[in-house]
Amino acid sequence: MKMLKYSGERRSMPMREQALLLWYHLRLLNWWLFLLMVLGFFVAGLLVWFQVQRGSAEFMYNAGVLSRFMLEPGVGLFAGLLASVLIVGDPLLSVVMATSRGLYSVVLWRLLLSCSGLLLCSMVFLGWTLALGVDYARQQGPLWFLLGWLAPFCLMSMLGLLGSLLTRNATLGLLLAVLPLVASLFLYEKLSSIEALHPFFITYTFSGGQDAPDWWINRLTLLALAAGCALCNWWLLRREERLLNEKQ
Amino acid sequence: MEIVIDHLTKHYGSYEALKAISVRIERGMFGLLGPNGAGKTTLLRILATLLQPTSGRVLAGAFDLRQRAQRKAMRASLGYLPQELSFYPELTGREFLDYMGLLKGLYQRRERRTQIDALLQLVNLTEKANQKVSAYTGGMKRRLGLAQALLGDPQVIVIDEPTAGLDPEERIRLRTLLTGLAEDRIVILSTHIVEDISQTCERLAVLDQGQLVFDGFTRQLTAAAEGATWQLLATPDAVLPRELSVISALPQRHEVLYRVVGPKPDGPVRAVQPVAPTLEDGYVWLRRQHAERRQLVSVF
Repeated sequence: MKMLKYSGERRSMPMREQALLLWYHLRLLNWWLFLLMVLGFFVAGLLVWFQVQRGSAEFMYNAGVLSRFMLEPGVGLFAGLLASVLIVGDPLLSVVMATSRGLYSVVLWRLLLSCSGLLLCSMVFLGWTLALGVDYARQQGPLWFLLGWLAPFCLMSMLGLLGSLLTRNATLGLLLAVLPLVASLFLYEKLSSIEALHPFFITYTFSGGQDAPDWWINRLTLLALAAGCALCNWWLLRREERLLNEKQ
Repeated sequence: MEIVIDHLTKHYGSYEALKAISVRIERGMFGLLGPNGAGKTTLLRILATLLQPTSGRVLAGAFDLRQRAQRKAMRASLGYLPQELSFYPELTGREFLDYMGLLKGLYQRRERRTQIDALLQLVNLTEKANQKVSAYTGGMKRRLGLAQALLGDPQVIVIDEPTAGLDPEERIRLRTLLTGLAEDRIVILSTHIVEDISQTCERLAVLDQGQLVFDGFTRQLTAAAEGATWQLLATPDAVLPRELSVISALPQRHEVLYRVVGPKPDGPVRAVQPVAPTLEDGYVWLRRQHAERRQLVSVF
């Protein structure tokens, strides 16, 4: 069967093939999650505009709270949602594992795409709210915005992936990831008096810590936790046989 | 290339899925036969580099599959078709193969697409290639899965239950295709349908409860039931002796024509005749003997 022969290059992927692979991955990601994300940011943008149009200080304050909500717990939620479905539940998981590019490459490409989508929505939303005159914090600046966005994104995406890899179920994985976010939202009032806990609130910016001096420590702590989760994910992906059904 | 499996063991916790399997697989079709839960899929997954053995050794040509780096290197020479295969419904058959080709490291677009066209023709899907996979029938999906396994001209093809759910025509076409592929590579075919093996493989291994109970030529397994395969007539309400395994029962006008494997039948039967065994008879005879041996071991 000579017609099956392939003698082409296998080592380095040309740019146009990378673009093609990216396009395929984009089509294989859950489009409705992206639609939900775009709609979420769009509706939030409209609400902020509506509040700003009312003009009073109270409405401006509300616009700020809503903006901070979208760029922190909102981003975190979407990041967890997108990361939990990156690989677990893929109908061709075992076949993908047995290819020479393997699982890592697929996860990284899809993570990159999800990250880009979320970043794009967040940038547009941020630009829109800043143009409307929304104040995020007294200490706001490029680094503040970067860390404000990056910390919940990194932590929640790594938690979403970790949850799905541990449970081998995307929905359970997302639930596991969302628990700390929900706990941070609802327990802040009760626990904010304990200073030692401040670095661990995922929603510190939204919950009122945006101007606190320990906000920077909070962001760095969350990023460190995200790095820890990333290490766990790397370890789990190395043990890929865990993802297959046993005893078959 | 040849594959050498040496004292291979696989545990899932306390469950022993494979017990010290040793087999040598050379170029051509190699059949893996056994009942459900025998360990066939586990063995295939180890050969497909998806599972790591608990102990023992698997050498695929120069690659030692215990080593992570060598398992990864082996994947360039491997085609794998799992038992349960789902697809991405958003993609057409051609796009799916293109995507898998990229994952398999086939980066030269023109060559990859030429090969995809050849494979689509080989599996008789050229006309449906631009249809979404969600519109494919079970047989078409199976053939598309096979085309995916053949991408990149692999030297080892591992196929798990390829004919499950196919109509007789599709099965015959698939078997012919596999036989053709095995001319210049190793094709390992796992199934619990004996006919698939008897029509395609010269050599086979039989697994039962994680143990290797036979390794050799199909004709040897067939010959094992020589002198133990019978045809007989009995009334519909007759109870056949327990030591006989019924292979088939064909209702006649007032009686039933049985084909059985076991010692020479006596009791409420007539017209007992020895018949030439088939591979299925040999397989049933082997499993029977293995079960009896296990029973004896457990008694003593």
